[in-house]
Order: sequence, then C-alpha cells, then structure tokens
Amino acid sequence: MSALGQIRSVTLIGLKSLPERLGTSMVIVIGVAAVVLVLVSAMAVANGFAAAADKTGTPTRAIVVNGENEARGNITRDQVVAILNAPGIRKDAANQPIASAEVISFVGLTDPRTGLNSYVTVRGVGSEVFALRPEIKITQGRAFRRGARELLVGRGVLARLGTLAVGSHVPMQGGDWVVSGIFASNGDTRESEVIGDADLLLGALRRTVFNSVTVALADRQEFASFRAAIESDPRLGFKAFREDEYFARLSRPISSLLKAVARLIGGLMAFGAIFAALNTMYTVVRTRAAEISTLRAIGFGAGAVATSVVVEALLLALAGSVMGALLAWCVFDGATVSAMTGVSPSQLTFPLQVGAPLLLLGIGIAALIAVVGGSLAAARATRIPVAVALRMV
Amino acid sequence: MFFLIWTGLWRIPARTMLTLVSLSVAFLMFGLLQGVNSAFDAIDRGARADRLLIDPRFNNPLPRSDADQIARVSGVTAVTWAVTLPAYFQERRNSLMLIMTEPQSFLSVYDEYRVSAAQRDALLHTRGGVLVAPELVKRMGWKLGERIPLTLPFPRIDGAPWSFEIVGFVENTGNPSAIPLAIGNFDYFNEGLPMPQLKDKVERIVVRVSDPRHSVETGRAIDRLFANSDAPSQTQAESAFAQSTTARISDLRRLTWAIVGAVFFSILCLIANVVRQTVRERTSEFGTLKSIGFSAGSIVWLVSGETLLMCLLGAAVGLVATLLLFPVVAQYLPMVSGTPAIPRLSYTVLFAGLLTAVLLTALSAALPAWNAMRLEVVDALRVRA
Repeated sequence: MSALGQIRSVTLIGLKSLPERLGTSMVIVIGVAAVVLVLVSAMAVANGFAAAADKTGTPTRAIVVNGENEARGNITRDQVVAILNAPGIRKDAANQPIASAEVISFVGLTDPRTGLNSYVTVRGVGSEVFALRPEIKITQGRAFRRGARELLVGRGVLARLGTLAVGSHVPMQGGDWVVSGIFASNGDTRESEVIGDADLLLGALRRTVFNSVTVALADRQEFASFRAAIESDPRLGFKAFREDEYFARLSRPISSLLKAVARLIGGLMAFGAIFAALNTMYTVVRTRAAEISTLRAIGFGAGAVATSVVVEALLLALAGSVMGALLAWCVFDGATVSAMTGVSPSQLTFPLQVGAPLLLLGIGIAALIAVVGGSLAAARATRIPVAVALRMV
Repeated sequence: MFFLIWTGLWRIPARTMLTLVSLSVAFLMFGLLQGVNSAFDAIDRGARADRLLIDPRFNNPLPRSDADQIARVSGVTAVTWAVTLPAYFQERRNSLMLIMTEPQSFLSVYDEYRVSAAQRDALLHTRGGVLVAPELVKRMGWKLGERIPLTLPFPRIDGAPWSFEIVGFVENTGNPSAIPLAIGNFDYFNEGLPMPQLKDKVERIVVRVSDPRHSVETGRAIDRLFANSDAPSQTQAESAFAQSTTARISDLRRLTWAIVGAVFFSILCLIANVVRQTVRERTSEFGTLKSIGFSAGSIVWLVSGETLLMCLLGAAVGLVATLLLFPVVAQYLPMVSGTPAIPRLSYTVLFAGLLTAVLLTALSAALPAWNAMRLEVVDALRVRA
C-alpha cells in the first residue's frame, strides 16, 4: 500500500472510532473554539479602533494648535486671520482660504440606557467646513444653517445616545439648540462628535478664542512651507501638524495598547490550548494503544500512524475554530463599542470589525495548536514498541 | 489518605503536567482579567455621596471666586477647588497628576489624604512647594527638600521651566489604587500661568455637604447661582460621577467578563474530561480498594481530593504569575479606564481564584466520583484496564 493510502486508511479507522471518544474529542473542539472566539473578539476591538483612528485626518489637511493638542486651545480671531494668510492653503472659487477655525465644548446628556451623565463633544466649525471635509455626508435631515442654533449629530453619537434624533433639543449654554441632521464621516472618530456654527457657539459660550484651525493644503507638498510660516514666531507657541499625523499621534498609544492586549490574551489562550490539545491527543493515543499497535503489527508504517493522529487533531481543531469564528462573527461583527480612548475628551464609539483576515488568523492559530499538540502526541504513539503496546491490551 | 491522593495525582505524570500547564495559564488569564475588572469596580468605591463635584457645564473654566458664593449655600460645610494638570519628570513616562489647589481646604474636603501637620504647614508656607505620593518618591528617587523640575502642558509666563520643592509626602488611604499625584499651591501656579483667560480660573470646585440625602437640592442651588454667568456649572455627587465613569467603560467590562467566561468553560471541559478518563482507567483499582475495606465515601474523597489538589496547584501557579505580571499590565490601564489611578491587584481576586478552583473541582469531579462510589466490587474487578 502506498504511503498516502496507508495514511488515508489509518485516519479513516481513527475517525470511525471518534464517536466512542466524543467526550475527549470535544475538549479540543471547545478549547479551540474558546481560543478563536476570544482572540477574534479582542482583535476586533483593536482593529475597530485602529480603523476609526486611521480614517481620521488626511495628509492634504493641516491642523494648527497651541500646545500639544486642542484641549487648551487659545487662538484669538486676529491670530486666525494671520494663520489663514500663511502660504500653501487651498483657495475656493471666491479666492477664500478653505479652512475652519474650531471651538470645542462639551454637553452633558443623559444616557437613556443607564440614566447616567454622558459627555459629548460639541465642535463649533467654520462656514467652509463642508468644502474642507468632503467626507462629511448628511444621512438624515439637513446641515445646520449659519447663525441658527442648530447641530449636526455624528452617527456614532446617535448609536450611543438615541435621544439625539433629528428635531430634538440639546441644552447648551444660553439655551437649547436643535438637531437639524445626522452625519456620517467615513467611519472616522468625528462621527463621535456633534458640530455646529463656531461663531454662534463662541458667542453662546462667551468665549473669544478658538481651540484649533484646520486648513486644506493646496498640495500635500505645501505642508513644509505652511508649517514654517506658522511656527516662525515661537512666542505664539503655535504648532502645525499634518492632520493624519496629528490624529495618529493621539491614537497610537491606545491603538498599540489594544493590539498588545489582544495579542497577549490570544497568545496566552493559544499557549494553554496547545497543552490541552496535547493532553487530549495523549489520551486518545493511550486509549487507542491496542488498536494502533495492532495496525503497526500488521504492517502499517509509524509515519502513517503519526500522520493520522495529527490529521485527527487538525480536523477537531478546525471544527472548533469554525465554531469559534462563527460565534465571534455573529456576536461581534458590526456591533459598536463605546470607550474612553484619550483621543477625544468624550467617549468614542466605533464599530467592531470581524473580517476575513481575522477569521483566517483564528483558523491558522487553531491549525498551529493542532499540529503542535498532535505531532507531539503522535511521536509518542509511535515511540512505544509494538510488543509493549500489545501487552498493554 | 493524602499519600494516596498524591500518588494518584502523579499516576500518569505527563498528563498531570500538561493539565497543570493549561490550568496555570487559565488562572493567569483569570487573575489578570479579574484584576482589571476589580480595578474598574474600585473606581466606584473611593467615591462618596457627601462630596459634590462642581464642574464647568460647557467647558468654560469656573472663576475661583465662585467658591466664596458656594460656601454660603446651605448644607455646604467645606469648599475647595483645584486645577489638575498632567505633568512629567524628565521623561514622558515619568508622568504624574499635579493638583494645584488651596492645600488647607483641599485636605479637609479630601480627608482620606493623609499628611503630617508639620508637612501640611510647610506646604502652606512654601509657595512653590509640593506634597508627593510615596509611589513617586520610590520611582523617581526623590528626597525631602529636593527641588524638582516638572514639565507641564505649557511653560511659565516668564519662559522658565516649572520647578517645585518637595516639602512632604501625602498618602491616599481611601482607595487601593496608586495615583501618582502631587499637591501644590494654586497661587504659585496662577501667577506663572501664561494664558490670561485662564487666570484665576479653576477646573473643579469640590464641597462637602452635611447631609448627602439633600445633595441633589444642594447641587441645584449651586448651579442656579451661575446659570446666567459666563461659566455655568454642573454639580453632581462624587458617587454619581464615579458611576457615570464606570458606565463609560461598561463595554470593555462586558468584554473582559465574556473572556473570563470562555476561559472558565473551556478549562472546565478539559478538567472534567481528565477526571472522567482517570476514573475510567482506574476502575479496577477502585474495586480493589473497596474490596480491602475502603468505604464508598473515601473513594469519593480520593477522586475529588485528587481533582482539588490539581486545580489548586494550577490556580496557585497561575495566581503567583498574576501577582508578578499584574503591575506591568496595570500601568497601561489609565489609558482606557478614564481615571489616572494605577490599580494594585486586589487580594479578593486571589481569593476568587481559589474559590474558582474549588468550583471547578466540584463541577468536574461530581459525576465521576459518584460513579466511582456506586461501583460494585465484582463489576469493577471484572474490568481489565
């Protein structure tokens, strides 16, 4: 009999006796399912956050802040004018710079699910904001009007706080504002914010300074000259960043933390599962000792027997990984998670992503567990001399 | 008896070792995740109902003078205020929270912060002084009386770096978390502030009330005072604030619980199978034991004792590993927890781990032990294993 034929028949014999060892086999299936479920869901959180963060900002825009970030922004109207005179800014048809001087506030709203206070970032934006950020698409209602106390609510905010539907009132300083529409922004972190007219918001807050200025660059190469102009006067303490780099810098620590946690948890579980698989396959080899040694006594090669053990482990692990991956996909794909992230002062809501690469990763890990666990057990199965094994019957 | 259990445990050394490794890893995961969970729970614990937090409602910092008006509201017994700044010493990773406040009132409102009277007076008399947490002293190697440079989000108005003199140590006895904090004088900060619109402004005013049952009314009375000012306030009890903080991370908590559940379930399957297999293989051995006079009860003890010993050994290894690894993990928690506290591992986690080991034993050994107990000697001896 050819080597392949041998492997096939031994494996089939093994699989036929599988139902008798169902309890033992289920340990591998369930163990691997748990590993894949946990790994995939933890990675889904990390990837979901990274995806939202990566989509935020583009290299063709630049943001000016004083200090490290927008939080303690302090840019006067005169300074905004000076910033907009810097070289490298794209102009619209009327030769006006495409830019938005922005102001940040919070509004405390009651979360209808928990009845507790939840903060949402309210961002006052300039009139050019839709030219500046073409990714903003209004999905319901309409944009806020200049000079009207109206707000556009991000899709992520709506997912978290259903009370902010079109037409609802939001209590702000100096009176209520009305939600005029809902916007999507390509799945980026802006969707966790609410936007309105900056000048009106400044007035309502009785403030005179902006938190940041974002400009469209005429060309992505223009950034160097733009930054040189902005940072030429160190007394002002202004810093210019490419928009994508600015957000990457803010999100990198969290993003790498989430990834590290997912890898740590997944790695630990996989490590434990390798030993569980090994243990199970040892037991299988032990209970089948008589059968295996009989096969070897009648001329089946050690290699064929060993391969059949590995194949059995592999099949069980694959069954488990498909179970775990399906469960993860059903429960987590598209589900939204809200978390504190340090990127924005309020909560960030982002969708989890369980994609094909992640599912393949899960299946790959499962195969690794099975191959390592199975081959060690197989080595043992074939090391026992036939005579000794037969006597064990 | 113990000897029998011990030798029984090592009947097949390879199997026991493999099971122990899986168990240890599972308990390490359990310990780390439960440690994180209990750290999240601890956010609530230090919070009190008789303390009200007065924050800017719309991100406009509150004038310090608001505190004088608030002090006259009925039910308010003590008032303090603070600006809390992220700061670091030399390198970014040596970060700490700098609380710039009026120390006398701060220490009376936050009476869980312990500081000696002499050191408190030293801070009151030293404008640029700070009280620092013992954790920081240990980590940075500071000494009493030393002058330390700290990097704040902005430089001093004169362009000079911020520097502080360590005049004492402050310990937080109310919360098991280690917050790397330092307490300094608001006046010193205020005079060096480079941003004119933030002069004399504070981030938060905190009051103690005589009766927490009336804290909602007291809060409303305070907010009414500033409703039409440039900086309206939002008052809530510290306990309610902590609840909303934990609610904000509730999705993450659900996820950690789900993972703990998955780990527990898969390890339960593993152990149950190991015990079942062991009992089945030893049927004739139990028959022999019974025939030489061992009672059915002692067979149960043998099976469950062996399982318990294995689970406890695995739990011990895993939980010791948790003790070693948790501080590493804890360091990163403030990034996702929404509070600056670096949690310590709560000992209830270790206790819960051991309890889980007992639960695992009960669930996995019950059926096989029952079967072993009911075994008829004649049947048992007939089986060749």
